[in-house]
Amino acid sequence: MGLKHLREPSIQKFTSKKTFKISIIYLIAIGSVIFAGLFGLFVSSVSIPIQTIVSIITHKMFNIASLSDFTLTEQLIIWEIRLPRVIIGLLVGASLSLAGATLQGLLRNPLAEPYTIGISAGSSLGAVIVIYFKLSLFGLGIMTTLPFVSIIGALVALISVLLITRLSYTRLANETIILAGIILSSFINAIITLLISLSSKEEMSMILYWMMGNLGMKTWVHVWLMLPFFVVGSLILLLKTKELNALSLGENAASHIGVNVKKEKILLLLAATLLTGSAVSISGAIGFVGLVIPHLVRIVIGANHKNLLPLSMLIGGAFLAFADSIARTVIEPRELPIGVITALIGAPVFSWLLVRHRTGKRGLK
Amino acid sequence: MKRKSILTIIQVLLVLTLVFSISPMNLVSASNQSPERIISLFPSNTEIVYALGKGSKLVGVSDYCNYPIAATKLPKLGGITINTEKILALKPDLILLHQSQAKSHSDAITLFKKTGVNVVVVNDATSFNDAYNDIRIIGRAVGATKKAESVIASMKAKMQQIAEKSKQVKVKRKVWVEVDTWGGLWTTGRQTFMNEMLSTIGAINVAKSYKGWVSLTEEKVVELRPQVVILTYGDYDKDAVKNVLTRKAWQNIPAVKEKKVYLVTNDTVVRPGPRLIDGVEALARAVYPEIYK
Amino acid sequence: MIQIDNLSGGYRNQVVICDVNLHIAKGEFFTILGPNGSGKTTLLRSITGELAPIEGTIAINGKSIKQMSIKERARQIAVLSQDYAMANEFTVREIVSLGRYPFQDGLFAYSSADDEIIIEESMQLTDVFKYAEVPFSQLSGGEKQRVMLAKTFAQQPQILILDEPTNHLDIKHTYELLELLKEWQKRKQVTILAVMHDINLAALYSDRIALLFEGTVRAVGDNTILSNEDTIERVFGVKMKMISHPHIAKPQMMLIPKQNG
Repeated sequence: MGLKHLREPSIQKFTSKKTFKISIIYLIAIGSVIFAGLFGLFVSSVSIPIQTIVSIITHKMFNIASLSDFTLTEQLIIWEIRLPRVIIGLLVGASLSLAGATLQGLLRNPLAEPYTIGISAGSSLGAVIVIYFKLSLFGLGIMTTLPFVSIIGALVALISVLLITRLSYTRLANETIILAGIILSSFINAIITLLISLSSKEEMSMILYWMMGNLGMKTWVHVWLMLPFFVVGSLILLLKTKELNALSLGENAASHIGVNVKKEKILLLLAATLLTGSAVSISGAIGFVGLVIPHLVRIVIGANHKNLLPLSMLIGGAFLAFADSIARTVIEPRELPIGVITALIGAPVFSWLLVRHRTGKRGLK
Repeated sequence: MKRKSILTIIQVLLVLTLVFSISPMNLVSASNQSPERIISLFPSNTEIVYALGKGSKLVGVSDYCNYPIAATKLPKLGGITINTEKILALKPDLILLHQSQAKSHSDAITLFKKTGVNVVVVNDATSFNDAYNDIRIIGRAVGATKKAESVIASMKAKMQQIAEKSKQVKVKRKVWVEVDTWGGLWTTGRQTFMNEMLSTIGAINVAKSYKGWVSLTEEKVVELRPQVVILTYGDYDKDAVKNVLTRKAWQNIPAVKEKKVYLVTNDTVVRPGPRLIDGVEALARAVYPEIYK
Repeated sequence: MIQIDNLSGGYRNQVVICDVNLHIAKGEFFTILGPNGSGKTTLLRSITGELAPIEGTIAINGKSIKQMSIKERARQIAVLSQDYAMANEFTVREIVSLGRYPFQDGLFAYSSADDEIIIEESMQLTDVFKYAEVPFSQLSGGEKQRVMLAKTFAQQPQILILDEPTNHLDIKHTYELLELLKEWQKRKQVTILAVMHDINLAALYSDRIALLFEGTVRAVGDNTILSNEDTIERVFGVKMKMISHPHIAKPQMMLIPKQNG
């Protein structure tokens, strides 16, 4: 065939150009994580010189440079407040975005996100129960008990969704999972609304503020609490990108090339639940990240989960950490709910990208 | 449900903005007879009615009316939404409402008035003078004008005593008031009872440069280095004091170093009523135990 | 190669195919013909292992498919179907690469250099290599079908199952696809098992044919079984006239309209 002659050079041209583009995108993504992290550390409601911040952190991490030059207050602000908060922001953003990207591919539904399939509602219910009944397990206090119960809530929600789906004889069909998720979400949300209306004014404001999402008052305890879930959840997903690719083609197609559809589906859903549950339990229900960041990344890089998942993770983390910096500085020293910021910055930026993408595509044709 | 929760949030915010921003207005309808069947739909109003000795005339209260204990035994007529039917069925001759409810329940108020019930909307209070005024208005409405004046006089006298003692304060202590920890650290700035109380007892509210209720970042509070921390949410979180004392980032704050973290009952420092005096006294004992014994 | 004995299969409380016995030899182009609802799809899904048989056995090279893992099955059997769902945002290369999935074991296994060669060969064979980096959504229907075929080629199967492969294709694409399959079958000695609607296409390209009707096999044999007009009428429910192809020795069935002219 005539094609044979073209083959060698064209492959190289294609692949090297594409590899170059992908490397650039990864560099940008890593760059934005670093930028968002540093921005969160350097810019805040209390101004501390950058040099001081850097010295404090390097000392705490590597035990170099003498700390006597800085006040204890500065050290505490940087090491006990800002750094954990920035890290939580990165972890929560990465988790939500990664879970969203996974669910969109797995359920083959562009509108799927942690909120659609009831995981987030389950997690919220766990948190609301802790606040309403003032639960304090093992003398940990409400603030530390909350994440545990919240993750359990997420897992219970996932199991319920799978059970409902299973009972309707449909071998875990996507539409049924989504439908069951929506049904479960409305049920859970009815319970939450019930608890809110039964609660005192003070509890009510606690619950409402918790549900708006916030990264304030986060400590290293929260970082350590979240980290194992994050590591396990994201490792599972990052190692399952081939299966996700196969499942995006349809379940029959996936099973024809040797994917154990049911097993992989449950594993992927479980990993997404661990990520969402731990994120929501720490920070409350923050919208937008899980839905839109994966779409943005898909526009740029395509649907291949091998790149889509890690990039969604990086960009999602950077985006949330940055949004949190804005939330605590824009009317400093007062705080805004972070959900307000994610939607206010996010919606216009991504609308623009979407429009540009669609018109650009038409131009190509 | 997201929409529902947003609705609820909007309602709460609406109540809050009404409480803190709208200029006072008064919808007192004249009535000379003292009412026999009173409904009070706001906790502070209920407390004032009891303080004026007219508690026995109350036939219904709001879900949030939790003081005095007698009030909790009365029929509950709603919280954010109110049960109009049940209210009318109780055949009240006086309904007491709060300014924040005037707008949200305007239809209900029109209805009440149509049925000939006397409706009194009490102004929002952010200072002791406002509170005295509220007591006066309710006094007039329930037919206890004299009692109202004597309650006010005794409150004023107690405030005067405290103000006298505050002259013994040599170095004013910086106080951080924490109202809530969810969604930032909420505190009370200018134009709140708490701020007025703190200045009466001779203390400095570290958040006095902000107006109304605000949430601050944790690091800002750490930078402000308060000498005393007052928590108002102890009723809802049993570990409130312990949690503040164990906050890692707060270890260099004088209040935490010296373990000067205290609870005061929320209702005594936010509700414009006779119990404000209990609040001031509790606050005074917490901040300057050596002066106010 | 494929040995189907006493197979009965179906879904909950509903037997769709009954007592099917088929022996398909290596390198054969075997077609299952039958009207709608005759159980063709159920038979295919039983062979791919998606549907557990109610009774009977299916063996490939003497090994029961029940004893094979899903991956093991996929190393031997590839399926070309018509659903290519939401593949739209994937590039052609990404889709074809998925054909190598059953050969990549272990957590970190991604395409090896050998895999890359196989993937590219498959794209060359189906003439979609020029679209390697193009998103699937921008291709025409015929091109999409060729990409899916390239994916099955990349699977290097011993058995290729075709589920109504030419359904949405025009005559030119149908011709090209079947020619390509035939050439590939001969070259690689692949066994092809196809489900088809079109009797004439089946007659032209199949080595052997089974007629399926109401869940049972009514006739098996080379294309001469199609010459029996009575059998055809019983199975398909319409009367057709057999003629011989003018150039090759294959029967073709002609419909007879009620009104002519």
